[in-house]
Amino acid sequence: MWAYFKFELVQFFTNKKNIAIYVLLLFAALFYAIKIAPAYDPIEQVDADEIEARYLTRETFINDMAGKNLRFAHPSVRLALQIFNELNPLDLERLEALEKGDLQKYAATTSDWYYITNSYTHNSGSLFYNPRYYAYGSQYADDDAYYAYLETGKRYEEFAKADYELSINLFEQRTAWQTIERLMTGVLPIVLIVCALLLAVDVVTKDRLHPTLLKGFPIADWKKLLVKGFVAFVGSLVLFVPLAVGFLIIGVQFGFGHLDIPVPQYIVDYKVQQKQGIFTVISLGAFLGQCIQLLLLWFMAIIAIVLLCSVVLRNEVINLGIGLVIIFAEYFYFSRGIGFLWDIEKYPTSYIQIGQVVSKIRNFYYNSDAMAAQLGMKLLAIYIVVMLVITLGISLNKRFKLVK
Amino acid sequence: MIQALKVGLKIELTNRKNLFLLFIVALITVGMMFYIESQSAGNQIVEKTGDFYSAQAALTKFQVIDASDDGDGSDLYKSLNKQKIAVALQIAALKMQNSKMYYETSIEIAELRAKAFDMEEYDKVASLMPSRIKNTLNHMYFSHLLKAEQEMTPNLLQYFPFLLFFFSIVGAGWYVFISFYTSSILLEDFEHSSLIKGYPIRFDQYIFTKCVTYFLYIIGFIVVVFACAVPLIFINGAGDASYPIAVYVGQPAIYSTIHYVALSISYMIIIAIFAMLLSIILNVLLKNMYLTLFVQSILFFLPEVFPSMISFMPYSPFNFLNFNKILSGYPLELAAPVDITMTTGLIILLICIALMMLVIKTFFSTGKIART
Repeated sequence: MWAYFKFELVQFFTNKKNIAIYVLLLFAALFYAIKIAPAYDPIEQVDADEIEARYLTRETFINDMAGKNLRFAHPSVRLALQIFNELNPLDLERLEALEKGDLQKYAATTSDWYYITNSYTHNSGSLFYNPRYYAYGSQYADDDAYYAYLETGKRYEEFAKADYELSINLFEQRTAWQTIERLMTGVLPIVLIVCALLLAVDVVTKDRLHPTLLKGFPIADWKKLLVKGFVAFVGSLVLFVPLAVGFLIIGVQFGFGHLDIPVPQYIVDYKVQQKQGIFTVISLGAFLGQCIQLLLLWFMAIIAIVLLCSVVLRNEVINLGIGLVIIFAEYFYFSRGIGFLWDIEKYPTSYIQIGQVVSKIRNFYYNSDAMAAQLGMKLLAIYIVVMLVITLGISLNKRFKLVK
Repeated sequence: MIQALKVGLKIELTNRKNLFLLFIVALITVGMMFYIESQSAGNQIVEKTGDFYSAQAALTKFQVIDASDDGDGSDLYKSLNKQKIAVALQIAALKMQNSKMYYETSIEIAELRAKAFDMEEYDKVASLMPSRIKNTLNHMYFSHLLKAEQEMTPNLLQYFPFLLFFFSIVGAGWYVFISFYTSSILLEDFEHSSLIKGYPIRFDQYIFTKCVTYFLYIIGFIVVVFACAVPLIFINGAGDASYPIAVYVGQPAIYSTIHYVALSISYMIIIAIFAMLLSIILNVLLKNMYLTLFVQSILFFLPEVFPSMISFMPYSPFNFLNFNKILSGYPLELAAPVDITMTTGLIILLICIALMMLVIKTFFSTGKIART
């Protein structure tokens, strides 16, 4: 068994295709760390010029209106005055805090600023969030901005209580750990799962090239399959090595951050929302921990389906096709708010956007109450077990041959 | 050679992989219908509401002042205000199902925007507005609809509108799909090289028979798309086969649905031959299905991810593989616009095909096929 494991492992890591995947991923990580990460331009950034411009315009308006009789003024003038009088002191405090470098105070006032701005803007019909949310053709800009403002507000609220050192990079989520967090809610999970699929796809079918060699191992077929699956899983874990290189480069540029950084998590329950706002906080460590659990389960799920397809259909292209269909299945039915009508939380494929599932923004998009990382883990685990049982069941059949 | 063709066909017809891919094409076609349903794609009211918000957001970048014609606001500010009014009217016309008014307001918006492009400070709102070429195409499209007195907004789940929708986005995936399909075109036979030696034909003839069998399947994929859409005729009706679509072919033009679909199919076939020949060359050079697939995908995705590469090398054949993008005038929207059309693309692709054939004929016809 051990000898067979070593044999498979060596074959796996000398496979031209697998080496190519690691190298390509390394290039992608380097490219991201050197080119894309420094160009990251978040909508909610720490921009003293922007605050100052807004502050000065509003201050002029307040001064112009001072002492005037507003009884017959347009109601929007009164509304504007009310808003400006409330927000301008905050903007001034933010500017002063930035100048003095008192980031704790900046975080506290910025948090208030976001909450108050949102309370005036949300569903107002005449006021707008940061114009960068309203790109041409974005239908859900208002919703997204609402979410982002409250999330940013929550982030700063937590930063204000911080007992660790704050920095602008930390505020703008540029540090290495926070970059991982952003990537996890973005494209990284799908990239990694597709890589795992590509790594695993020929783990059984390659044997037909050397059928005689394998007869030297007197091991039952089901054991062989398990070893192969395990080797593919180990290979998938190695995918993190090229990523680590990118991580180190980003860390050197912008600082590493640490795992106690707060990550806002959307509260799904309507009743709890009314009591404590729409966000609660978990630590970045807990966030990434859950992400990794889901990710590893996804690796196993993909390997399990590849094993089953290899046993039943015996064709690499079919393995690849079915794997891709499973990974991208959600794109066919994903639609904002559809969770209210369909029980999308019951399909394992709905949990492919791992970071979004854990931060629960996916619940916000789907408008689903029941979707949760734990449920996703359970579903994936059941799915893996079922796949493996079927696969092993087939391979225990006496007429079954791993290699024809 | 005919004999070899027959044998090859027999092998490929029963190949599980090919049947599976036919199934995948059917799945994607049917999946697309679900996608239209769930995304409410083509729902103009939703899309125009987005337009309204864009105009509204663009206005927030300006100080609120008198926007009447003799007011002291800038020209752009006045134009944006007029656009916003027009979009509101457009949405109202949509809700009332008043097609004539809808077309007229749409044309008015396009005219307002066309004038706005040259105004001062346009950069400030550029991200919130459609590009110049898109605007010109819109103008032409709605003018045509108004003249032809077409009915408003076709139901995308009718036969011809669905085909138009399908073939107007298929370019994004077609090349990748074909490179996926052809990535192991020679490799399966390399595994049994003694089998090939059994055919009493030359290597180039053998490659030719391979290409023919694969080509038949590629035609099959396209046929499957049409076949899978047939149920729509019975559910929602066939729809209008002459419904227009605006395209850019050196100059803005209006094509009918049938014309556009036919054009797409011819591009798809040329692109498929291109991908197939490239696969053959890469197969012989790299002797690995996945490396072939990686190289093909990277060549395709580089200009997609880095659009500046299109400006840098406008005549690279890989710019033309996503033909829908070229037809929509995308190269003109780039930071450094280049005027390339699918006609140029077709010539370049054909030249490349000829070159690759030459390469295969001269270098790969020795008949020595190494085992992987």
